[in-house]
Amino acid sequence: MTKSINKVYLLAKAMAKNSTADNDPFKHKSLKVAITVIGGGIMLLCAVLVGYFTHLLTQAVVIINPQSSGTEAAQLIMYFISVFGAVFGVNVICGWLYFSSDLARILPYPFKPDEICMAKFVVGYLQESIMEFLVIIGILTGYMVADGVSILGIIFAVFGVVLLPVLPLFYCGLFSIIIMSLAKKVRSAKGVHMVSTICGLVFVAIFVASLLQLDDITAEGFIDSIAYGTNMFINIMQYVFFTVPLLCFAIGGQNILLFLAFVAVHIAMWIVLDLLSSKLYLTGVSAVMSSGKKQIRTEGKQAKIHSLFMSCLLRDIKTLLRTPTYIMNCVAPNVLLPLAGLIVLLTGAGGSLRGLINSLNAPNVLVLIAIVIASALVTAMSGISSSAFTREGNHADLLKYIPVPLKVQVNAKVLTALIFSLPAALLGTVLLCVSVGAGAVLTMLCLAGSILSVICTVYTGVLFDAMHPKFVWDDELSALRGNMSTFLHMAVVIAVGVVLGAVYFIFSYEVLVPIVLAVLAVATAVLAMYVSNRTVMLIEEMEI
Amino acid sequence: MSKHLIEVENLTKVYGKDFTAVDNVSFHADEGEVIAFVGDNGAGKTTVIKCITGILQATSGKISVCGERVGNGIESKKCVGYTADNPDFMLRLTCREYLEFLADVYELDAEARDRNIETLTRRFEIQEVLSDRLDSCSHGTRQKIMVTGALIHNPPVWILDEPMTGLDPQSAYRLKKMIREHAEKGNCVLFSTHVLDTAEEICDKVVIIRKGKVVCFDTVESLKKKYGGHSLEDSYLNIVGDEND
Repeated sequence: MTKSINKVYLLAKAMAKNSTADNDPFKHKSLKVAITVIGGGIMLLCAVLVGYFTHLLTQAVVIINPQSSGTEAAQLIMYFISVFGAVFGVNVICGWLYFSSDLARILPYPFKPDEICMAKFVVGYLQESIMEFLVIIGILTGYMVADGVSILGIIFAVFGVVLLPVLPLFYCGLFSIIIMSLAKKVRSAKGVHMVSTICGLVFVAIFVASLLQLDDITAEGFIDSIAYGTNMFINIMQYVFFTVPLLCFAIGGQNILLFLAFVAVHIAMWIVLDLLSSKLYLTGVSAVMSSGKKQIRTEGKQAKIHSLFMSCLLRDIKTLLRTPTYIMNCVAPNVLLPLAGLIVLLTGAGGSLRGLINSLNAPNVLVLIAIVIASALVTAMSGISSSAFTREGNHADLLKYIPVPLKVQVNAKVLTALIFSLPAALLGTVLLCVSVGAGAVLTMLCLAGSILSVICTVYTGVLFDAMHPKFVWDDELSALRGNMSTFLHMAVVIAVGVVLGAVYFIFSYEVLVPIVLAVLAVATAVLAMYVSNRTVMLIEEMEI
Repeated sequence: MSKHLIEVENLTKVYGKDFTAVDNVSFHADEGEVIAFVGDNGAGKTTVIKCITGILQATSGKISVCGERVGNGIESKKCVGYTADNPDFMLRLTCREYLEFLADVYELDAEARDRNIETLTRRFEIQEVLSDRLDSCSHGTRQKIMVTGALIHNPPVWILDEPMTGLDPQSAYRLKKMIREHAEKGNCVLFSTHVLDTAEEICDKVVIIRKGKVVCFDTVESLKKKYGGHSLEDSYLNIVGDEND
């Protein structure tokens, strides 16, 4: 047993070191420091905001129902975190366990199947949970500040921060091992993506149902349901993610027995996963490695002659469309997130966004919501724009040696990113305009603003990528997440949001729209000219 | 009578529903032997090697390494040193970290690991790069580190998939010498290659695989006698020609 754990530790240590070491060492140390500070700052800001929100919600729940345990607000947010962990973790854990490129290199070494599986699970957990650790620290801090701090509570909370993300990933691991070894029909990355999407939709459906079940669909009604324990979402999730109430009650009641149960459950999870992987892991791995090659039918098709630009464009689009991770992680959220956001808003307002604005008695919220949604869209799109460019990976020198001008290739990549980004942005904008009853003129202006925003974002993404290219795309998911331009984009979006907010408070609504459009138009023109020239220069200087 | 260190009996591997990559392959490698695995692209060489090393599970048939059945636990893997065709593994570790990792995997004591790392890296003249990250090394240097890693536990069975790719002439010469020396110590070496001159130069026996089937398993001299020609290349072309006919 000890020997086996040592082997797990040995392999996990090597894999973690291999995957966390600087991927593309920065040429400029200052750029690295700046990106680290920005990235860390954004993560910290999120944790502080979540903590503050937990604090406010806990106070509200205790005031509404003094008989409540006081942990309900913290539980609710932890359930959200757990749901995210479970839904997005399926792809990560399954990818790590079955589709990572290092698997064929590890298998010849004398590791038992369960040792490989557990080591990979540990590394997947560590990589997937860094942001979660911070957010859980925020939640527990917010809760304890509102409900009272104790030494025992702090000790329990420390364990909680480390162990809470385990259960959702344990489900993912369990699910992956069973599916990949037993279910032939979904035994592919695409099948797992599909199942994780279905799981996500089920969770969303439960949440929407819990909203619809409220007598009074308002923020007050929702908080009441949390305080009086009638919220359907919480009542279901407390069984699915049972470690959350165990920890919360252990901290709240300073109950050592509950805390020991919390720890024991995690030991049991390890044992279950270890036993299951010793029996089934190799079967799944072998099945995945022995699956037939996917073929694209090309026979009978007449060869077509394309222009240089069109040929580059079609190649980029085909590559992206045939990359499931990219479709599921970049394209799908871009389409689903604005729609889901709008549905939640509409549901919350009893059918219309105008109703929501009226109920809040603040017409200017319209502008804020528009800015927030636009920011969310723009931020999400950064994933697309940033990944489209350096997808050539280690073969990026291809850009240089094929006899196609670099400018043509860069423009083809820009257009590819636009093709994938614009429809979602335009759809979101139209839906928003229709919901608020905006007139034709305002809708057209908003659409123009949306198009300009996306173009700006894509060009900025291309520039960031050229400045800090990422060439290792063996593990698609890590590459997408590790792409620093996403963080830089978020920083830009936050800065733009702050500027817009300030402009709004200084000037009136009528002044804001033309200013924003004018700024965007100028920025787009300048960016388009600057980026295509600068990117070409950077590619020429690039040493791959 | 020498002992079979690798024994492959009626190995069949099917990918997906109906693509038979390897069909009823049998051969064996004994102590002191160097076996070359030769065939066209897509003939099934790498699939057989992956089945022997435990990367793939055979659809049917039996494989044993050092008397241990492959697929039954990890005992067979302890006897094998494997050098893959692509030296892209754990690239963000330094060369020393990579070798230390493998020394831990094969549970070498401190003295043995230091001695083996020192001896092997000196032979390839790569002591200077031990502190460098693998991804900063050239393809050839990485390949040398991978070879060093495969031999770190002095395995009775050494398997190499296209080992000469990317090596400079001097390193290729050294590797060929190392392959021979490893076999002469009573171990066996199995390597796949497209370079028939290399195969002829260092191997005792040749396995010629074509479209997933073994068409020949014999010594180089016997092949030349049986199929004619002055070199292994001539014999190979005669065999392939026969097959095509």
